[in-house]
Amino acid sequence: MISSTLRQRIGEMLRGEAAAGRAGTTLDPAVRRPREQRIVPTSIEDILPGGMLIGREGAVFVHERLYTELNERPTPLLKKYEQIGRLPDPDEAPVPHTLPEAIEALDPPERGLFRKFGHRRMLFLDIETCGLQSQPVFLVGLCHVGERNLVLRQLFARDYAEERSLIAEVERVLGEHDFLVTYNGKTFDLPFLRHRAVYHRLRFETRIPHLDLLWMVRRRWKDRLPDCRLKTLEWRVLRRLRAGDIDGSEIPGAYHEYVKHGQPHRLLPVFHHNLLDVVAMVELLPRLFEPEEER
Amino acid sequence: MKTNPVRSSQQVGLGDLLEPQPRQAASPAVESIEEFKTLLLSLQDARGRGEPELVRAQSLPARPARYGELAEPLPRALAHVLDAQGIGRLYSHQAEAIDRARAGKHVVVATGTASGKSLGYHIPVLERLLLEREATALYLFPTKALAQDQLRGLHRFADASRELALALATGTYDGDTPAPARRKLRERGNAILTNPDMLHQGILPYHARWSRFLSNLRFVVVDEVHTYRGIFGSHVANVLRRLRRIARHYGAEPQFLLSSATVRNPQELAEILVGDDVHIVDNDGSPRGPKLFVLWNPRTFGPDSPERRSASVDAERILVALMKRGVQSIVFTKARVVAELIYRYARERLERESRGLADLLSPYRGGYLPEERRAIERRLFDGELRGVISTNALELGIDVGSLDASILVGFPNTIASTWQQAGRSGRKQAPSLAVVVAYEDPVDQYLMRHPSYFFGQSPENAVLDPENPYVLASQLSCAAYELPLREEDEAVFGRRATAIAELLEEEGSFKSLDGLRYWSSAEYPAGKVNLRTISDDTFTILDQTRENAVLGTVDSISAPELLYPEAIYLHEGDTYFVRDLDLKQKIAYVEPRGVDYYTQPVLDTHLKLEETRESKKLGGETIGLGPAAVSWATVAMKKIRFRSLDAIGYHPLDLPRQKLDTVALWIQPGEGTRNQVKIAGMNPREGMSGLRNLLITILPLHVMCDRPDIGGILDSANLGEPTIFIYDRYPGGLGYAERGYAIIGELLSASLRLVEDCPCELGCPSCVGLPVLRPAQQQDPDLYGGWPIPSKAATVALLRRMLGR
Repeated sequence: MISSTLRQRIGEMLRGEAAAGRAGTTLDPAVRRPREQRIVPTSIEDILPGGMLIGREGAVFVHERLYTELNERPTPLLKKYEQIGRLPDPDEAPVPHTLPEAIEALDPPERGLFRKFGHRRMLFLDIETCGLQSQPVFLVGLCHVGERNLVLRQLFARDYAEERSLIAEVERVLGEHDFLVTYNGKTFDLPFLRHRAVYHRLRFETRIPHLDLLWMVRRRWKDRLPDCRLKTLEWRVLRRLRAGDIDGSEIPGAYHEYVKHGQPHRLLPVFHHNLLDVVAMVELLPRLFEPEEER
Repeated sequence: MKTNPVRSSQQVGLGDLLEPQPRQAASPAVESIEEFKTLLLSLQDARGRGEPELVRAQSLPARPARYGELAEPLPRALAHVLDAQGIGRLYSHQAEAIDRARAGKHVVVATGTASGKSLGYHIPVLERLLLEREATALYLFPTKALAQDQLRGLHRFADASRELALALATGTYDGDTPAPARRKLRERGNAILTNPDMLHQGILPYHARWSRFLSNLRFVVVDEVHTYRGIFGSHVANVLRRLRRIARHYGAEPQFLLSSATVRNPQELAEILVGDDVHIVDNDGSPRGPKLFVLWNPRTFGPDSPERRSASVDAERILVALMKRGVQSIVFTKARVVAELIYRYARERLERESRGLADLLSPYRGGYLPEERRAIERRLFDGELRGVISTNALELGIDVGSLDASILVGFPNTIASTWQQAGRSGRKQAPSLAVVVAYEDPVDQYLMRHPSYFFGQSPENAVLDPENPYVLASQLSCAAYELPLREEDEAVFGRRATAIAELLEEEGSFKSLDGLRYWSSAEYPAGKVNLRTISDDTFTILDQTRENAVLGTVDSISAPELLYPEAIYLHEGDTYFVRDLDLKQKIAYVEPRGVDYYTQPVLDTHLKLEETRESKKLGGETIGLGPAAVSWATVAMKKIRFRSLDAIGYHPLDLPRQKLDTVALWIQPGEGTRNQVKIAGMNPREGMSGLRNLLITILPLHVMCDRPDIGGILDSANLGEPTIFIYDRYPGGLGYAERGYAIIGELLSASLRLVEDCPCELGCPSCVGLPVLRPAQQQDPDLYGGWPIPSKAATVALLRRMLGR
């Protein structure tokens, strides 16, 4: 439905047409309202450290942080990651004799990825979009393991047009890694990116192996959790409480406002939200490979 | 009374679908139109007083078939399919349509009912799908039922050829399609049947998922384009522009193949819808047997009595007589309740007089369950049903084969519909009959008094305006959401598009970047834009005595007129008592109850002017414009005994009002003007009724809408003096009243010209007499005299004074 202001403006336009005695030409300048005083927009670069990444399809803004900068210690975490791939090969393990033993011995099939590629070859990914379908993606949070630290990188399209270079860059980065880790990415993030690539008529032919943590979480904790949202896991499993997080439904509006009027401060909570999602995945993953505690 | 046995779709064997041709009697029951005439004459009431019923029997000559040859032969598989369906040669219009389509043109086929229009689009589409593995085609139908019907048609083609069956991946994609089937169609379908609403809300906004289908889109078939008029048509034209734009984004330039039933301007209509040149094929080559067209006026009760017998009862007598004679017949009614009543009456009579036929009769209307409707269509197509009583639900092109006789109870509201319904009867050689049975309504009676008037009228123009700024604002929002608007796109959407896009940007919905306008809001615009004036919300009717089994459905506008507590709801002739109407859950609870009466709603409509936004003087009269709320409610019910139509009860009801917030223009003749009309010996109020009716005819021509898109009311309550209100019948208004306000002088002059130039003496449906004023859709016209035709002289006198002539 059309808003009442717009309705009123169309009415003015029509009466302008009628007064001019001609059915419909473009808007009569006399009817046109003076434009609002424009606020000089500030851009995200002014308030977030980062730089421009120039790729095949254009530029995209990159904001980078290290795990240590979040006052976290990466070493214990990285140790756990090393463990995942090192656990004994199931073929060499003792043959289970009872059904509970057999279940116990069942190895998460996902472990194979770590055995094959090692944790240094993985890439975490989480996207922020303007809607659940067919709308622009504007922020992509990534994380990979570097020397003794984890590197968190956020790629940001400063306007709708930059979405194209954002997607091209994501496709390129995917190509540099051996496997992908997401939360619900098989259903949401990856198909979404693929559809946006189709929309921009860009190549997006990644066949990268994909570990979707949501599926593992469902297998393991579905019966014990009220739901499987990442936030719930963060609290119930990681014992971390998110304070002042932006509500997901407000994210699209915040981005549209930024594109139209600048005001990057309103976007900071979105960057924060995305970063926390990626960090939560990074910390959750090793827990999914640990044996169940409360048996 | 026992309900007709209907077969559910599960019980239908493959054989039913393979049967390609409707069963035809070996020799027709009636061999000449003279026999029809004799039969009808014998039905006149010899002892009755007043004028005889048969007012006019016009014979329409037979027409031989004309065949055509294709410029290039068909692929073997298709030629084989046609053979298998018993189609030896193509009619000239079919051949022309196929040739043109093969030559890459957009084509509209506008030929008569049952002339084989759909072959004109199926053949080029199927040929392409056979020749080009990747090619796809999208079919649009105005209703889900029509899509289902044509899907059966496509399956019949495929069943006749293995090669075609292998090449074709088809199905309907609409609100009823389950998710897995949708996914399969998106991924692999190459002939998808859907409707404009689904295209608008369920396909275009998600176009990336459809990239395979869209990038290979070769044909868009748009069937029954005559339904895309007025507001609905204006939206659909924009949806098609959006489709072309998205297809172009994926590198496809689809060709449009359209078909239309009777309208005066099919080519213009098609070109406005598509936004491009369209080749017209209207030289109908299909053969027709001779037809008798009869006007039938029920007798008055006496030479001096103005009252006439029930049109329903006369129609039922004619139907039963025809069925007994072996003539397969269809009755068209203007309201659902009438279809039920005639069915009930006819069935009672057949059970007494001709038992075997009682089960070969069925009613048909919207609101029956889809599988019931499919079963009735099939039984009709197979020739098993010998009579059907339908609302205009069967006027559209559902393939039920050809029948021998159609009986129209009351004149449909347009000439086009009349020919469309009359055309439902008529086989290739055998004679056929069409009878119009008149109500005691002024318009019907005018046509009975002036039969030549009807035969001399051409069908109405189909009018639509894709550039309506309000429609455009909604549609451009949807378009920008799908893909940012380029400057060229704005040209596609017409001369106003840029101005509207600028307003949308000013409002904050759009944002321009590098010459592209992006959708810049968290809203999902298609979710808020309804293509049709009436919402497609439905109420469900549950039978409490059968563990709340679903009996049927009814649209939300009609629900309070049909299903108020204690109403009698008629379903397949049976009476159900309405226990409760749950407006929140949209459910009506009913139970079967044998009673000897039915119920009729008493409606109360009124308009409340919210404020006068603008007003001006035109001589001594005042013209105004402002937001208005039109509301209506069922305020009481009447109990009416079957057949005798005696009113046996009246109960007030307390139901919430339904409301339409819109914009109205008003005309208030000054006291001086009214007095002058009075002094001339005429009633100014009658003149105002006449003017209101004229404006409803004239305004649509100036603002490009359909007559039902606007409404008019005469009222003194709002402004203390008698005032004519004309309003837009669309929430929020679409600028019709607004534009009317701006050009009021022109409208009044045009009204005066029209009424003065009309050759009638006292007023007729072409000038002061017309309108069909909703809302009274669910009422039995037998019980209401309709609005009298206002005095032509009073209208002319009023207009002359107003214009100072």
